[in-house]
Amino acid sequence: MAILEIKNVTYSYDKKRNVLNGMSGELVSGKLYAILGPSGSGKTTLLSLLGGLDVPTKGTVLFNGEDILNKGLDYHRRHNVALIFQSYNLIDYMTPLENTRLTARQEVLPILTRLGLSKEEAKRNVLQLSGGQQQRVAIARALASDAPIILADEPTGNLDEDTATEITAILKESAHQLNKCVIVVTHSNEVAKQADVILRIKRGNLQISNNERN
Amino acid sequence: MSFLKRAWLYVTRKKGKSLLLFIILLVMATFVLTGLSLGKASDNAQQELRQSLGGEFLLSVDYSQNNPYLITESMGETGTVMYSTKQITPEIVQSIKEIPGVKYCDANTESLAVFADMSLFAGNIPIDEEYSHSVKTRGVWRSDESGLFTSGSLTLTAGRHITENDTNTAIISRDLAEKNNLKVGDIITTHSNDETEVKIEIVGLFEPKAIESFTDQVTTYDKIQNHIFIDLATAIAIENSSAVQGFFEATIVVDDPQSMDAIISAVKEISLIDWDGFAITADNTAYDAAASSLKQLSQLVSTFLIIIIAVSIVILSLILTMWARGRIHETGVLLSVGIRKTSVFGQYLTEVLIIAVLAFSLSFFSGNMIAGQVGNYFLGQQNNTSAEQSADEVAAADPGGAVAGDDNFLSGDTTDENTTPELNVVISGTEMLQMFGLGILIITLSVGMASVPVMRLKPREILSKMS
Ligand SMILES: Nc1ncnc2c1ncn2[C@@H]1O[C@H](COP(=O)(O)OP(=O)(O)OP(=O)(O)O)[C@@H](O)[C@H]1O
Ligand SMILES: [Mg+2]
Repeated sequence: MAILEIKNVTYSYDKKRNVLNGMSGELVSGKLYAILGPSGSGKTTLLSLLGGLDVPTKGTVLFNGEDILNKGLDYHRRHNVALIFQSYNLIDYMTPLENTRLTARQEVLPILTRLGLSKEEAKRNVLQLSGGQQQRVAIARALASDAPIILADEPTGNLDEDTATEITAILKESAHQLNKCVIVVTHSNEVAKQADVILRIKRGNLQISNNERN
Repeated sequence: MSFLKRAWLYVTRKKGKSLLLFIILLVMATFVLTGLSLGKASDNAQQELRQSLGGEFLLSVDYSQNNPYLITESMGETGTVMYSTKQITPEIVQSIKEIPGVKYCDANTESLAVFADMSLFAGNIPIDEEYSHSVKTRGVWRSDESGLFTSGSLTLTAGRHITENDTNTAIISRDLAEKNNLKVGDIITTHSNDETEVKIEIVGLFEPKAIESFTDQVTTYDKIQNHIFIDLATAIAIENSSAVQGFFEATIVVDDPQSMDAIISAVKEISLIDWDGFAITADNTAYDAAASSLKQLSQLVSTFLIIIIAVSIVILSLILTMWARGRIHETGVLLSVGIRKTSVFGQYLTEVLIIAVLAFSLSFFSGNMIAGQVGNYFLGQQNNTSAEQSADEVAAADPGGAVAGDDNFLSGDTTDENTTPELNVVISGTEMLQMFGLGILIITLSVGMASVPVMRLKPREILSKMS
C-alpha cells in the first residue's frame, strides 16, 4: 500500500502558470525514488508539497491514505517526513549530536557513528565539519526522527563525486534496510542510477518508471 | 529537544550576542530602576514634606493704615496703645473651625496682668518695678487648640483644658502652682484696670517640655513658668476696656498644606468677618517652593521613565529584528523538522529572558549605585533652597508678637524641626518587581515585533529565502 500518494495536485505561484498540473502518483516504503527534470520544472515545489511545507493549489497529498491536512502540516513534518537539503540546513550553534537530537526519538550517537562520524566529531560545532560530514549529520537527523519518509533536495549537489556516492549509498541503505520511503531530487545521473524508481516531471506531470538496472 | 534547551544552547554558544544583549538589558534595567526609585523617593519626600512643614496661616487684626477701625489712645505719660474695635469673635473662630481641612484654630489675645499675691519665677532681664508682679496672660478660645499645646511644647498634666464656654478659668504651670501652694480648683485673684477684683479658678496645670536656660535672656513675665492661660471672657474682664473685645489673632493650622489656598478662600468667604479690619498672613512659600521642586522632579522622573521604556523598546526591537533576519535560516530549519512556530517564538523569547534575568538581577547593584548618586545630587540642590526658606519661615512664624521677647520661646521649637525634604533613594523589592514587570513587557513587545516578519512567512517561503 502506498505510504505517500498525490492526487490531482496542481500548484501555482502566481495563478497564471501551473508549475504542477494535476499530478498524481503513489509512493511506497522500502524504495529509493529519484525525481528528475530540468531546472525550473517544479522538483523542489513537488518536494515541498510532499514535505508539508506548503499546500497544493488543488488536489491532495495523502499519508497512509489520509489527507495530511487532517492532522496538520506541523504534525506531518514532525512525524511523517524528514527533510534533507542541498545546503545541509544544520543549526550553527549546535553540535552534530544536538542537531540530531532536535527531533530525535532515539539514541543519536549510534546513528552518527554508523554514518561515519567519530565521537569527537559528533561533539564539535557543526561548522567545523566538512560538507560531506555536515550532510551526514543532516541524514542522521532525518533517520533519528523515525519518520518513515525521507525527502532530500539535491543532497549531493555540493559534494564531490566520492562523497556523493557514499551519501547516496546511505540513502539507499536507509530505504532498503530501514524500510523507509526515500525520495531524492537530483540532477546527477550517478544518483539516478542507484534509484529503484525514477519520477520524471514533464510539463507539470509525473512520469513514473522503474529503473531497469535494479 | 525542548525550546528551553534550544534557547539555553543559543545563549551559551553565541557569546558575543549574549554579551551585547546583556549590556543593553543591564543599562536599560539600571535606568528603569533609577527612575522607579527616584519616583518613589520624591513621592515619599513630598509626603514627608507636607507632614513636617504642616501648613498654617494667621488671621489677625489689621494694624495698617487701611483699617478704619484702628484707634490709638495715649496711656500714661509716654506710652500709647493701638487697637482695633473689630476683633475676632468666638463665632468667627467657630466658623473657621468648621471648614473642612482645618486642624486647629489657635485664637488668642495676649496681655499682661498683675497677680500681686503670687510669687513668680524671676527672669534675667531687668524690668520696671511696676511689672515685677506682671505675668503674661493668654486669652484663648480653647486651650487644647493653642499652638503651645498642639506642638507639644506644653502638656496638660492635671485638670482640664479651657473651652470656649468657660468663664473665670485659668491654667497655670505646675511649677508656679507648687511655688504658691496652689492646686486645681483653687482661686487666684487679679484686678481689672478699674481695680475691680477678678477671681479666676485654676482648672488645669501644664508642664513645659523645656524651660528657658540660664543663658536665655528673658523677662519675668515672659518666663514660661509664669504663663497663665485664661478664657476669653476673663481676658475681657481683666482688660475691661474696648481694647479687648475678642481675639487679636488666630493661627489656623491645616491638615495638608496642599489645601491651604482653598481653606484661605473659604475663610475669606465667612460673612461674619469685616475684611476692612482684618488681614491674613499666609506663608506657604516654604512648602510651595519645596513642593514645586519635588513636583518638577516627579514629572521629570515620569518623562524619563517613559523615554527609557520607549528607547529600550526601539533599541531592543531594532537589534532583535536585525538578528531575526540573520536567523531566517535557523527558523526555516526548525520549522522544516516539524517544530511549531510557537515553539520557535518561545525559544527566541526565552533566550532574551535568560539574559534578562541575569542583567535585571545585577542591575540591583548598578541601579543602587546610580540611584544613590542621583539622589545625592538632588539632595544637594534641595538643601540649598530649603536653607534659605526655613529662615524666612521662622521669621514669619509668629508675626503677631506684640511683646518683646515673645519669639524666644515660640520659635525655639520650630527651628529645631527639620523641614528639609530628604530624597531617600533606595531600591527595594517593590522597585525590583516593577522593573522585572516592565522589563519583561518591553522584551515581549520587542521580541514580538522582531519576530513578526519571519513568523508571517510560510515554511516553504522561509526555506526558499534561505538558499
Ligand atoms: N517563490 C516562488 N515564486 C514564484 N515562482 C517560483 C517560486 N519558486 C519557484 N518558482 C517557479 O516555479 C517553477 C518551479 O520551481 P522549482 O524550484 O520547483 O524548480 P526546480 O525543478 O526545483 O528547479 P532547480 O532544478 O533549478 O532547483 C520555476 O519556474 C520557478 O521559477
Ligand atoms: Mg530545486
